[in-house]
Amino acid sequence: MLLDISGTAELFGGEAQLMARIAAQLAGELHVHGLRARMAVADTIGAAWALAWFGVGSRQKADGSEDCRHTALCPLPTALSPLPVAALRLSAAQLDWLAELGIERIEQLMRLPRMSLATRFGPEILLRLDQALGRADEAIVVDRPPPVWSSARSFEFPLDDRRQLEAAVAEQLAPLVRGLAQRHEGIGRLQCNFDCERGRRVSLAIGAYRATAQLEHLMELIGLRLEQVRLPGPVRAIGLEVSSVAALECRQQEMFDGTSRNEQEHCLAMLVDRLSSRLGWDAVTRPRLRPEAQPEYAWRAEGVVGSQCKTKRLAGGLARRVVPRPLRLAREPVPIAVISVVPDGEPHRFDAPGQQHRVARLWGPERIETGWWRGRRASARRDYYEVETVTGRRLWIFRDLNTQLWFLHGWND
Amino acid sequence: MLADRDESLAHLRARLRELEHAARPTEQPPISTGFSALDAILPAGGLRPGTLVEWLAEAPGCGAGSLAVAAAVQVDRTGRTVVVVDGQEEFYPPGAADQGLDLDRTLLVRTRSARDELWAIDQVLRCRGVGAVLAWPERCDQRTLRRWQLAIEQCGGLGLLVRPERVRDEPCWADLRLRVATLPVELPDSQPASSVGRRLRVELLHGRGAMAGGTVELELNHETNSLHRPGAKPKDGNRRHAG
Repeated sequence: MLLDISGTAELFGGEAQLMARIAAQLAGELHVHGLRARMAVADTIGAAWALAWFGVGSRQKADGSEDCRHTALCPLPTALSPLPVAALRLSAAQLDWLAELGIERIEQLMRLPRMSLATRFGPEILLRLDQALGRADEAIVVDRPPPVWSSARSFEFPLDDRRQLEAAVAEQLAPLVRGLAQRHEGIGRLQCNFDCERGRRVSLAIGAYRATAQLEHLMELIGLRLEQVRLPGPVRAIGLEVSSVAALECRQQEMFDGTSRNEQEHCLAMLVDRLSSRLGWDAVTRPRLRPEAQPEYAWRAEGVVGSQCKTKRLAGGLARRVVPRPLRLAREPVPIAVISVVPDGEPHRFDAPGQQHRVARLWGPERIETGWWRGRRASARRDYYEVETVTGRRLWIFRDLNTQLWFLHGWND
Repeated sequence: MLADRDESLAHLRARLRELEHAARPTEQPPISTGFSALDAILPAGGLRPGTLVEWLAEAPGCGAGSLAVAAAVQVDRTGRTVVVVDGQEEFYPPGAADQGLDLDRTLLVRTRSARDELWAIDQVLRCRGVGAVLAWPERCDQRTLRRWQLAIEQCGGLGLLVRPERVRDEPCWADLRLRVATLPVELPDSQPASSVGRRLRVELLHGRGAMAGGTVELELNHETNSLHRPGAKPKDGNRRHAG
């Protein structure tokens, strides 16, 4: 932690007094976590860092905490020269390099000609040395925590009416949305906590496909979620917490009327939000192909809410298949009884539940042997056939080579 | 004299069609089904945006889904999003990708109950950002269908519904109702079994502004289907058969 105290020390009765006060405040807090504080005051950031980390002359305090305080009273080069080179905030690679050359202390480094330092080790070491000695400027990068967008409110009389509840949420949400919209930001995820009577709390997480600052849209999503949950009792307090904020995508007005591309995408985002609010975030997906031979694993459903990044498409397309994939795949392969003309031969007739089929022609077999890493039971050794029945229907069946049993796996609908 | 009568009949039919579609705000060009022979029997020469199309499947595996996906692929080529609402959790994306559907522009919505499925279809049909909806609603009542029809008219998408054949006697709110049946293939002895494609018969059961009863036989080529890769140009795999 870096503090700029230029000009403020006088207000506390000198630098030593200021340090003592900060140390006293820190000690209590840090002691709880088992941490210790080391402090140093110097003219430059580099020198203060070096002295705080590597300065000698630490005082052991009575409670065992080490409290190192240094004030560089002497000129900076004198104060820094006995310290190891690691005090210059260098990378591990650079320190190794210096150690190989036998340069351990800063004074050794300072004695080397500047020109050769830069050419031999690159500009980094010279910059760090100059920063420590005050020859190069360095500014403190200020850490500004992002504002927390939340609001909480409790009611004198608990709310038990849905409409009242929604109105109360809207009232609370409006200033948050307004504040965010002014910063050109929108809500990506929102956590709604409803404290019901008897101390029970219901939490709803609302997610938007695209960050939004539209109150009506957010209220619609909250309404859809509220429809699905049963609150255990009247609501005493509502807490809203924005857990993800993102910049709003700016929408330019189209000059000509009509459904522009932007508007289409906007509508689509609203649709995704509505669907996933009621059906769940895993219900609205983008299918992605995977380079997997076993049909069940050849694709996966990728959630669209919260993951805006586009995944890489499969490079080079998919391998050519002997048998094209069916349009519908049974959730579980359906056992069927198959009659072949020759033992272990191609299917000739088969009985699916409730129906008999005679095979007119077939394509295959396509052997799929994969998944041994999933264990013996989940691994697949199958011969797939696409069959056309005498009535012209196309089905996808396979023989499990481990058990020699036949299954119906899909319909080329 | 006869030519005169034919002409005036054609004129009256065209006028009737205009009147029937007067309510539609913008008349966009029809979308091809992907099969020129099938387009030819449809009153608009294709599928009209802003309408529902019902594909009645004779039985699972008869090819109705493939025809619906082929139409969705045509919409997908225009760069618009295709949404698949899958209530049975049986839709298999690799199969659709084999038929040319670009999965990057496809959203898959899976629902667990019939009620959620109908709700989801309704929501998707109401969205202006969606180019086509592909769904397999098993049971839905007349009110639901009427509501869907009005919704999609407003939003300009294309609703592709694959339904079982037993609903053919129910009133139709869709713009088109097409029955898909398979035809057995007679193989000439000289040709190998796999050289002939799959044969389907599509019958126009109901079409607004047209006489019902148009029938076309299509041959879907197995090989061209299997060679479709996302991004590859499709071959015109259909042929019109005599008869």
